[in-house]
Amino acid sequence: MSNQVQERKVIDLYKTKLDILVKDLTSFLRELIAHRTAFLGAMIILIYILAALLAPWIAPHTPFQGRLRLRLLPPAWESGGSTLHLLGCDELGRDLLSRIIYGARVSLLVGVLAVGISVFVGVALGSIAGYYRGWFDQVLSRFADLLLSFPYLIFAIFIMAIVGPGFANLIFALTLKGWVEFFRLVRGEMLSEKTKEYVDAAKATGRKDFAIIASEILPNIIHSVIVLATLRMGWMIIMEASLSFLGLGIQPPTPAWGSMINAGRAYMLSAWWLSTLPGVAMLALVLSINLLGEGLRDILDPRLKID
Amino acid sequence: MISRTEVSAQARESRGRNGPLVEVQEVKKHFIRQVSPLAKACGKKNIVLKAVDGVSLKISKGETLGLVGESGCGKTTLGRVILKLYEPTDGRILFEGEDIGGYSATELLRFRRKAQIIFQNPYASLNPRKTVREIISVPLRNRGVKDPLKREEETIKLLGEVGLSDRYINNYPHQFSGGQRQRISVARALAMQPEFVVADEPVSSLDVSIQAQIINLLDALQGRHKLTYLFIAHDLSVVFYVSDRVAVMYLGEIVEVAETMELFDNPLHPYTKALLSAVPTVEAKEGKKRIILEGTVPTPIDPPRGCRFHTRCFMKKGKVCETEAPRLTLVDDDHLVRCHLFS
Amino acid sequence: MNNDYLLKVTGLTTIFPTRRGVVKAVDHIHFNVNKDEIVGFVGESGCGKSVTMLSILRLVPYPGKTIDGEILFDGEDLLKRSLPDMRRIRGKEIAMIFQDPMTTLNPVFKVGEQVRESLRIHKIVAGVSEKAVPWYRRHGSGKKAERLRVLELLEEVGLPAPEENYRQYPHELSGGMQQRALIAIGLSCKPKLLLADEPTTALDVTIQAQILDLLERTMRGRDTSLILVTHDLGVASEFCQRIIVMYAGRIVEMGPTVDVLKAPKHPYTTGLLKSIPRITKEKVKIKSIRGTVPDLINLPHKCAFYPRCEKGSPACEEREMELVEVEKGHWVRCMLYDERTERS
Repeated sequence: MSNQVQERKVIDLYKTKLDILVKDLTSFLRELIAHRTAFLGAMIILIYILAALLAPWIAPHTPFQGRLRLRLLPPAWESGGSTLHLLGCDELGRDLLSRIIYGARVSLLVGVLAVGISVFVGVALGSIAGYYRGWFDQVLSRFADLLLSFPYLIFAIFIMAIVGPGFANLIFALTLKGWVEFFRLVRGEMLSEKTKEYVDAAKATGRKDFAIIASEILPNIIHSVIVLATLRMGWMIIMEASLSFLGLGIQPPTPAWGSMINAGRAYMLSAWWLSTLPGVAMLALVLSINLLGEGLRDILDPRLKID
Repeated sequence: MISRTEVSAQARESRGRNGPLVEVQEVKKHFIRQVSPLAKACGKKNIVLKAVDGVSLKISKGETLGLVGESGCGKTTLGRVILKLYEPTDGRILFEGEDIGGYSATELLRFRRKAQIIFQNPYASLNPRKTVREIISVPLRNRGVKDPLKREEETIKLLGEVGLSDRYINNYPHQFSGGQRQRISVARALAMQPEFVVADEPVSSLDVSIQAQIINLLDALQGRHKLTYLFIAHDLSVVFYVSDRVAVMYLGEIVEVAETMELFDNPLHPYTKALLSAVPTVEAKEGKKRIILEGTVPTPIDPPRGCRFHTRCFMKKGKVCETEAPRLTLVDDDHLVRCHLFS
Repeated sequence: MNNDYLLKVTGLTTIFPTRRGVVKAVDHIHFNVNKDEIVGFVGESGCGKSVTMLSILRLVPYPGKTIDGEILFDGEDLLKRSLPDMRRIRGKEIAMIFQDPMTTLNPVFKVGEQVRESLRIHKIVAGVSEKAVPWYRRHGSGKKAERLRVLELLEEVGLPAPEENYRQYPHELSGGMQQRALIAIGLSCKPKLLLADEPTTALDVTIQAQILDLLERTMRGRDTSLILVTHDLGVASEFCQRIIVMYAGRIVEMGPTVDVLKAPKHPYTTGLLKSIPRITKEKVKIKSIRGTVPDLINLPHKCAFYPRCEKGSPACEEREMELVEVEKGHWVRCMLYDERTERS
């Protein structure tokens, strides 16, 4: 057949494949919208993401510098407050709302990075351990068990104490233990999927091991990973806040919710908004993430069930 | 109606003419479960499951060899070992005269092209995350069809051969019925253009009326593509219908092999007799004497000494059955039995 | 009012509401079971035979429910009985044996205990009447008698070492032995009606022969009727006196086994028989029934089998057929046997 006709056929083929992808995506989105709590969570997270991305434009004031005259200014709805600073100011006169918005950047970034790296490491190691078994599996599993025996926060504090505070170190400390959960999840699922006949079928048609792991098995496992990753993101954000609260995480003057809460401790009785409002912001974000995660678990899993 | 005698004559001719297409030589497959070093110190030994324990078979080009046996007899394991999905613990498999054990990666891929498998479970044998197109393209790509357009053409052709419309090409496995999924499995196996197909209980999970469709499909494809089948099943009526020759397995060993008609007319091994009489048939013969075997199947972890069947045998010759293991002996023209009554 | 019937089912309808629509799993079926009889319910997956059994015991899982019909057992309508009454009937008057013993037996309790549980619940112990014995009086005669009865039952169902099997857990027994234990539980309270839902499908052929042989032997000695649900026509042929063929939630043919299988009247039955490979002298080609089982949510035709039927005609679309008695005791639901068409 002529080149033109052939080209058009190839384009058609790719268009059909794209269509299938789009159809899957739209049906997923439709289910997400139908699931009310997950949708709510997703919307709120979206707001936070937008706020974090557009921070320099939407924050009313700079978060880094304050005017000492405005120190401990109450929020707008309290007596003595002003609409210029909707949520009041902190102990150095910095606008709280702007600080909270900028704090969202930190929290989200930490959440995404820490979870992202944990997922990557955990899935890679877990797949290999689960598929090949042997000494690699034994060694890694025992190592993972060892890591799991430490409480997360204490472990993170320990690591931070060694490497020192800072953003990169924070991510390092969080991922050092974070990958373990994903490792175990993927390894477990890999063990059970490996026995299924479609894997044998793939072997029988001559697929190489790596292709089997990546393109046959992982798509079947990925939904559990996504659900866990979403839920753990909230956890990471709380961890970051805790570490910053203890002074080990993000250092001032970078606004981070945890350090803000810590700084506001001294003023709990007089200027409650210093600690409370960042706390509320964090609460809303983590709650939304959890709602989305649990909703994803509902949406993604039963779809695989046979009618 | 196909005359049985014609088919057997053809098959016998083919067997005599060239060597067998597939030859299994004293193959063993043992699964070992290691006990912990602590248990070993206390004297416990590894648990060895002798799934296949010394099987020899010859399959000629163009024939359908039926392999029957009940659960635990090792027929499924044997099927996988023959296709090198499991490595044999002992023995060799010869395909077209070559020992597949020593194959390099390229030779293995070439072998995989020629030898394919259809699985029992239509639900687990298709990747639930892949569309029909993807499921069939993978083997096409491995076969060397590089052009995606050509693959698309081939996929549609294959689907047509197994009786599925090409409008299903974008669907996922869970949208199909059991029978349709089996058809997809068959299409996938055919994509490699094999010469030899192991059909591992391909119709056992299907409804009766669908079974007939798939059986007839496999039959038609055999004629069209000159395929050789190893048909593994536990349903004797199905095996009778599709096979030219039948091998009966018990606890990892072949106990009887014969041409289909011969086996069903003149079963020699007591197990075969019991198996045949246990099959419920629609032509209920009044007062049919059914042989009820005593006891349960012994475990392949610790098979009985001597003849493995002696614990349930109702035609024991004597003490020799308990002490000595009988060998597979040729009784008639092409009828092999493993029983002291005939050695 | 024919009092010979042990079970008389009329107009039984059980539905399952789903997101896509209402599934009529059982659609207005009528049938009877006599005393001391073995009836086979035959059909492929999805035809409604299992749901019928569950409907009789009112054990249809949520969201399914029986919305119409009458199930007369011993003169009373089971569908109208109170739940405590039903609980008393289940196990004692009507017992059920399920398909897969591995999942039916509780893996954390000993086998003997599970058989005994049935006796205990219905307060039946050999020699002791159904008077309730309070738990603090249970030491001694009550318990011991129960245990003896269980051992008796285990021996009756052919378990090789009742004493030992009593103490074992389900996973320590083979499939055949587990099924025997289930039968022991079923028979323990001497029910009048035993429902067996594909009791041998999960078992090997030789074990299936053992179990069916056992069932036949135990039925012979008792005044119990058995409804055997199976998809295997061979099994139905060899063990059942009467056979009921179901398709898409309805009964399409019903009658004495010999009649139905030797001279089937409904095209589905004929099609089914032609699609089974037989062990015969000459290889007879099997013929499959074209098409697939319909979607039970919308059955677009008056006769559910019409799209697959070789003998279908436009008359089949005119109206729904009822079960018609074409010979003594042999009923069919098919336009081919419609008196009105025959007359015209």
